[in-house]
Amino acid sequence: MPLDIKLNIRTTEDCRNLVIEDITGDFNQSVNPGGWGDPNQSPELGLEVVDVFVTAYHFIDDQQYTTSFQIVDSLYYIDSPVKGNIKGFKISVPADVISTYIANQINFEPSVNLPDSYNTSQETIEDNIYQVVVRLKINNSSSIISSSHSYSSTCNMRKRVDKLLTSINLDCETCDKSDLDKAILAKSILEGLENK
Amino acid sequence: MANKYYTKLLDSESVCGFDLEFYKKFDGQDLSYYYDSISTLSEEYTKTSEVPDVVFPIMFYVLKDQHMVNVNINPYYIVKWINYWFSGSGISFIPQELDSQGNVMSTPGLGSITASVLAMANYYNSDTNSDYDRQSYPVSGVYLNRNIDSSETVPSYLNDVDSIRNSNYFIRDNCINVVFVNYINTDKSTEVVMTSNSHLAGHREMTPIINLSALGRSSNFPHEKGNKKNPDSIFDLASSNNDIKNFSNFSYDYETTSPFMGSPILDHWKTKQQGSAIMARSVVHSLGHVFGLSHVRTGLNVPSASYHTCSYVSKTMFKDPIQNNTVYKDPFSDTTQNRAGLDQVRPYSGATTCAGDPIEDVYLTHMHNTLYYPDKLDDLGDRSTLGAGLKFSPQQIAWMRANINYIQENGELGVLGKIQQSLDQSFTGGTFEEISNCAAGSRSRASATTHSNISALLTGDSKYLHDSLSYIDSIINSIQY
Repeated sequence: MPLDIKLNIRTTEDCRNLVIEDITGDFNQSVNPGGWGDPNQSPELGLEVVDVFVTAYHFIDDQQYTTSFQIVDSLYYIDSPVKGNIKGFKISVPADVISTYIANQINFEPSVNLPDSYNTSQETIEDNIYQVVVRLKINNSSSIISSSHSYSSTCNMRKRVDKLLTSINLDCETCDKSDLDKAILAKSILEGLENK
Repeated sequence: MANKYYTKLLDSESVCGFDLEFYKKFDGQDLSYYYDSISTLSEEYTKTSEVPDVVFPIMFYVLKDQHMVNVNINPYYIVKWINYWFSGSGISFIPQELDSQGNVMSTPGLGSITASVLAMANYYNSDTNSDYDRQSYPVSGVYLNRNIDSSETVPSYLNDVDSIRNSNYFIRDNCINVVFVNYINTDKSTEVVMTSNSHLAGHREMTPIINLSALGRSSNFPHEKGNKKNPDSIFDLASSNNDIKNFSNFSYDYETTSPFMGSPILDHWKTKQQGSAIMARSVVHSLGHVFGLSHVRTGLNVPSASYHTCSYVSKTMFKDPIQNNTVYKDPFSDTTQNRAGLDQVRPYSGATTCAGDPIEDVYLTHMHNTLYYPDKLDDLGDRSTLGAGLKFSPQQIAWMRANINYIQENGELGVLGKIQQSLDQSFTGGTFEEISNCAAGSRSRASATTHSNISALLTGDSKYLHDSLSYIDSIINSIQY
């Protein structure tokens, strides 16, 4: 079978970057027939062959948007373990780059107006669903496109819930115990989302 | 009029028209090839570890008339509920994204048809006891069966269910279709609120037609059992510990002039709260029929006492020829057959099965015929997990999965298999692959959905994520710390 690019999508722990990692691995007839290398595509390529396309399923002022864009300057954010070899490449896109692309794309649409409330220079990756496709331009006439990979980011809410849990005084005899119940409920719901 | 007794085939407590429709289609037919094939496939499914999941696109149509107001249903919300009830079966559903022209729909999975555009309406002239005049869709509802005994006339201008299924306004070939209507008219004693047929009947003919009221009702105030919820949230699917809440909101309403609202026999469906417990299980029940399940007990034109008896029922659905005046059990040994004196479905606390086992210890399945009365669901309300005992049994799941892989006598895939094949050309049916085969290059069914359908699914997931995070946010903001 041809090269089957596998991706891992996540955010950095500080929620500031969206990370797209190649986890395709080496070709193996029995366990990884879609891996890198003979008889499939060789990974010995320059990083400039990698194109990244992102679709954000997001909300602005409770209005749902589906915004697709190409990270045309991905070369700024990409690296790989071995020079001249893109196997295991990692792209780490800052939050403000993502939000700027989203704003530009919405502004580009003739029938859609970007709400004034949208922050085009965000510090953290918004808690949304991100769908990523990677294209490798092998030469002028051919390319390899990955299947789409999606990721539900809950990084910001995780930080809030963690902070909440460390802020509640469990030993307080006079405190309202319902606060603890609420915090546990919030934690449980979030874990349900994370494990979905 | 050869069909004049069809309506009476239904038990007076039936809320589903499947028995009637199946009988009309398969009266006297020998289905032993089907029964033997599905039995063999079911056994194979049970023995095969990690069979790939299957995903079916689904399309909901609302046949709107003047009695429906504020119809603003969310297909993703319905699908969330359906998938909740199907969880563990390896069968799930996603809203169909593309319209018949291949364009992305503004609201994937949802079509709205104004009833007045239908030209297939019929008027049964009870005075002459004979004719049907073509009319535009004038008043209300659809006919389950227009071929009725003159003494049981259903007075109406109505579309019958088959004319809706055959209308070009509905029904896509590459997905499962469901039509919501204002009101299904039957006769004076039955309360049918949904109807469907097996996939054996054909792609159009299997299409469920369901009262919008039978989806479940919205609640704009705290439920009587104390669940104070936001009625507009889709998060109410389950609480954090997966207990089901007696709450749902499918966002529709009827005008008080609707025949549905004025029907004393359907009185218990109309209040805002009482139907909330249905939680789309009418759709789940109908889909069970589409996937080859019968009711747990099928009685074709038999007295209620016979229908509910625990005496030995010698006939088995699909195995034995379909004929009038007969009681059938389903083909399974792990579904509930209630003891004598109780009707087939009322799961009162302390009830026992025909075998004498406590009712809680066996499967109260989605496939009982009269389970969908809101008041009967309330009988379960004191349980901590409302509806938790209502599920598909292992044998029912194996049967449904087998129906997807069914190969007809002529060698062709069945309707369900053809839908799967339209999503994944490698699907051939006839047998079950283990999921480990994917490592050698074949795709799992779950990954075989088209990109467009994945996109539609993500749009729904995005709203679910957003609503859930908003809910967490409201919890955090309510804490003073």
